[in-house]
Amino acid sequence: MITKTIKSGETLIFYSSIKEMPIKLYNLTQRYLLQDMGIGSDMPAIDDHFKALDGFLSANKIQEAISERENQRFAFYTMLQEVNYKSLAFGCHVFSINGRLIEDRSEESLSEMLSGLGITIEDVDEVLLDLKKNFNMN
Amino acid sequence: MNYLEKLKKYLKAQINFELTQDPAYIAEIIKCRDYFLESSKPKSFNPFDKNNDLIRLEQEFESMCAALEENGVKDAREMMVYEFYSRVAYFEKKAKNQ
Repeated sequence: MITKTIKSGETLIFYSSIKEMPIKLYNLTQRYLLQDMGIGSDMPAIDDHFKALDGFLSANKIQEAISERENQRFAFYTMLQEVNYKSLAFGCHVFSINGRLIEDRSEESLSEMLSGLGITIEDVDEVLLDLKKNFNMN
Repeated sequence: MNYLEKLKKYLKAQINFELTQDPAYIAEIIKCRDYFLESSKPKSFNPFDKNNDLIRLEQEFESMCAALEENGVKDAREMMVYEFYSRVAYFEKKAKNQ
């Protein structure tokens, strides 16, 4: 486990290796990362969907264009709902906050926990990048 | 040919086409473009699609848990990541040797 104190002064303990993290939580993390990669939840993600949509349409790949448009719709929806998949994946790595164990990993509970922490997307990226190094099976 | 080499080939063909306007490069550009489009196929998140990637992820996980439990592992979902995949690898190796 690794301990980090964030800007708001709260102390977070993270699962930092594959020997500490339960598989069901890891599976949930993978689910959020898949949604982050395939849907996204911000304007750059929506722009990426536009680019991909144009690419598929110009190559006459209609089925792919339809899927891309569907994913873009999901991205708009998640952005309007202020859901951030990468932050949810980050939330799965949190073992405890100020000594209080995190047990409820529902999307609502994780979102509530994250908004209470006041962390930025840069903090999320930094921690996820750090943890990624220790989550390789090879 | 890996992704980077393909990208180099694509950019080279685009530059050559701009410089020469030779239509021979267009076929190369389209071939490379199709490769990139193929490798960036969108994932499906449509709840009504039987190929939904989230459902597939869950099903694969549940299948692995069921296979481990059939082989005597208790509460596979509660295992640690390392322990889980090590057991999966062990049973796969064992099944291969039988």
